[in-house]
Parts: sequence; C-alpha cells; structure tokens
Amino acid sequence: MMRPVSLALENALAPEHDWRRSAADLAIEVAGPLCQRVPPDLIDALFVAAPAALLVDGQAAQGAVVADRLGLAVVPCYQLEAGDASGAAALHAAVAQVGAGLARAALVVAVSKVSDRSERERAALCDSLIDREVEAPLGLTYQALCGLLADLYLVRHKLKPGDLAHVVAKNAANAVAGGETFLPHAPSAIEVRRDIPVAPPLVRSDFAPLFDTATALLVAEAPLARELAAAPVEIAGLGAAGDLTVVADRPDPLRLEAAARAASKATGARGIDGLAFLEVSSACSILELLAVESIGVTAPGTATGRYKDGLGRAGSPLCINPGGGAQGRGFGFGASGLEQAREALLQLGAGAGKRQVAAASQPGACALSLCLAGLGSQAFATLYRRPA
Amino acid sequence: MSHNVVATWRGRGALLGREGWRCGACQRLWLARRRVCAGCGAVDRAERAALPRRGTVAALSVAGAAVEHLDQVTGRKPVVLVELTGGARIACLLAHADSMTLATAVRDQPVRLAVRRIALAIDASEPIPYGLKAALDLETRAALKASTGGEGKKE
Repeated sequence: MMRPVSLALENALAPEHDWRRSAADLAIEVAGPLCQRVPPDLIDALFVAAPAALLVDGQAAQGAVVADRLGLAVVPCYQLEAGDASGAAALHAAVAQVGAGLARAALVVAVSKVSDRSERERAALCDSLIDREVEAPLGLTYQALCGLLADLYLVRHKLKPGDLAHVVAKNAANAVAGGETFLPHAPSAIEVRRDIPVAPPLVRSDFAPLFDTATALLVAEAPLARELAAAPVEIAGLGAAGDLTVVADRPDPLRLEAAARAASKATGARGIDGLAFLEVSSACSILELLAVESIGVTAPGTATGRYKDGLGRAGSPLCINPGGGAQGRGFGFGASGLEQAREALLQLGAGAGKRQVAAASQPGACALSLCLAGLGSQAFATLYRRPA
Repeated sequence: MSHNVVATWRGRGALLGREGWRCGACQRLWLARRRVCAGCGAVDRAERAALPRRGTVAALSVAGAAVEHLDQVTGRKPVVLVELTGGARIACLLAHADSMTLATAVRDQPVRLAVRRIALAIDASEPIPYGLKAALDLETRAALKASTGGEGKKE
C-alpha cells in the first residue's frame, strides 16, 4: 500500500536562450532556493531529468553532476531518461520512492540546456525521439512524421489546414493571459495560419520552440508536505504506458494508445469528467489534438472545432494548458513533464496568480497532466487533488 | 546525427530485400521486430519477410527545418505514408529529383518501394546512406506532370 504523497514546493526558471549559464548553473538556480527552504538532512533522494545533456554537451550521468553542484552527492541520485517526457518519468519515480517509504522527501530536478545549438540543431534534438532503428534510416524526422500525422488527420476528418491553428492560438492566449511566456502577444488563428510552413500542413508555430529552462519540485510524504508548505497538493493517481514506437506500425496512427492507457490508469474509476483543468503535451499541435481525442475529452476529429469554439481557453468548462503548455511557455526538452506538475501545484494550491483557474481553487478539485514522449511512444499521466 | 556505418552494414540485407517482419501466427507484417506480436500477441513468432512492393499514398508532407531569424525553411524533403498492398504501412521519403514539385499531387497515387540514396548532402568521410523510398511509376509520374502543368502544384 502506497503512503500518501504530495507536491510541497516548486520553483522554475523562465524559458530563454541564456548563453551565460550551463546546465549545472540552471540546476543550481532552480533547485537552490528549494534546498534553502527545507532542513539540510530532509532531502533523502534526488531525481534528475536532463536528456539534452548527452545530446548537446556529450555529458552522460548528468544526475551526478547536478547532485554534486547542489551539495546532494551524499543522497541517492537517480537519472531518468524518457526523451522529452523525462521530467514526468522522474516525477513518477520520485512519487513511487516516497510512497514506498524509501524516502520522506525527494527533490526532482529537470534541466533543459539547448541554446548552445542553433535553431536547426535544436529541432534536430527532436529527431532523437523517433525510432532510430527503423524510422531514421528511412530519412524520416520528427517534423516529417508530425506532418504526416497532421495530413492524415485532416484528410480523414475532412478538415482544412487552417483548423489546426486553433491549437497554437489557444495555448498562446492562455500563456499571454497567464504571464509566463516568451510570446510578445497572443497570435490569432489567422496569424498562425500565415506562419511559414515547416512540415505542411504544420507551420513553424505548431512546433513548440526549445528553450533553456529548469524546473524543480519537492515531493514529500503527505504529513511532511503539510509542515513544509501552506498548500500542498496530493498525488491522487499515476499512470504510464507505452505504444508501438514505429508510427507506421500502429493499427491507427491517429490514436495515441499510450496516452489513453496512461490516463485511464491514472484516473481509474473516477474518469476524466469534472477535472478542474488538463495539462497536455503541446510539443506539436497534432500531438496535443491526438492526445486530447485519445483520452476521450473530445470525439475523434472534433477537437479543432471545439478549440475554435473556446474549449481549452481560460474560462471555458475545461481549461487545457492554463499556463500555455510548451507552445505558450516554451518547450523545455525533458522538463515539460515536471513543468506540468508545477502548474498543478500552483493551480490547486491557489497560487497561480492571474491565470488561476477558478475550479482549481475548490476543495477536492482534481487535475490531470498527460506528458508524451516523442510521438506518443510513451505517456505519463498524473492525477492531482487539492485537499478537501 | 552522424551516420551509423555499422547499422547500415547490419541492415543491408533487409534493405536490399525490402524486408520487414511477419508474425508466423497471424501473418501480419511489421516494420520492427518484436518479441510479442502487436496484433495477436504471439510470442517469438516474428520472422523476416519481404514487404509488399506496392502501395498507395495515404498522407504526405514536405518537411524541412526552420532557420533562426531568417523565416526560412531549408532541407525540405517530400515524405509520404504508404498503405502497402497486403496491410502493412510505411512512412518514407518520396523518390525522384522532381518529387518536390509532384509531392502535393501524389495523394492516393500508386507507388512502389525502391532502394534509393537517402541523404544527398553528406560529409565526404561518410558512406552514402541508402534506404527505401516511395517511387512513382513512369506512367503515373508522367500523368501527374501533365496534370500539374509540368511544374506541379504550388504548396
């Protein structure tokens, strides 16, 4: 039987291209303040997600570097690698560690340091997320596969390329209203349609831009979390699952089976009805759409129309990515899953400021985050609950 | 990412034979070898098998990469999702030098799997990578060229 586990403390760095700071610098700056807020001997496990370290810096075992720089070399350190979902994988492992009684409090740190590379090279980082044994030798890229999925989606559901623009427009509107964004303003769907085509029907805005960023969370057993934080948030369910990694091999490429399985496991009998809000990976517009449809928020082929009508925006019955997700806030390679959990802690702890979702302030409110790895080869779902 | 010479050597037989994996129990074809068949659940029944040589284009794109600050997209390659005759499916590049102009016209067109050079621009020290591409038949290609005015549809 798992012990109750809660999210207690959070910190995050604003996504930017910061050439002055290394990955270790980012880890110190994001996790340092959390380490100062708790007694030195309280953190008894460290979980690190830093998949870009090996790809950008050639640094394996970045977890050891982070532990050293944070002064936590004496505690067990585990590095999780699940591509761009590494942050969510690290969170799940930390919750399991605390829930099993192997640690009272665990620090989870996700670092994305990518700005040492050009935009083109940063985009190529995502190519590491496709099946390198089968898909890469065929000359395929992450962008190419997303473009194919988007084209298949439009053809099957008889939609127009411009319909996809409502995903970016929704995420951008939420981000700009929320105050944590790289965007100077929220582009309308019409503006998004005019962006340059990268993998038609997808345009550049459909691919979340990669930034330097870092997120840290303190996960603790529930009684301890209540001592450490005024408004801790309970972990009410975890679910993780995989799918066929070769997109063309999937029985239906437009159904993200991993997302469906993970969300179902995390929510259990409760289901997804009545959620205060939903966090979904938005590394690419088509992946957000397929995830939303695969877990049953909307019927297949209807998500773009629902988005156009306002679904997902702040103030709608179900806000999707209240902080703007990766498209609105900026994409931390391997950090976005932990950023979703941070948003849950802020929202359900009623500390999200001007992007606060009203329903999340209610006692017992629940929210779900769904983090995809690559094109849905893995999915990590987490159900959060505000204490009653 | 740099080219993996050993992986190319390892896959040479499958490439030239245009092979995938067939489940010995349900006969379904897959691109990847799996211990457990994703269709019927049979264990350790995957065996090498030739992929169907022909199929139909179900989806297409022309994917490139954005260049910082220039609002440009470079390195564009036409890519297609092909429903192979017999049930399997493959995503791959579209062959032919004029595939860029024909790319938007190939939806629902018949194609065949052909062994072609994958990357045109490679480092002089690296071997030339070959892989499977979707190729139009001469007749189809000529008809598409004629229907698109020889230039193909604009994107």
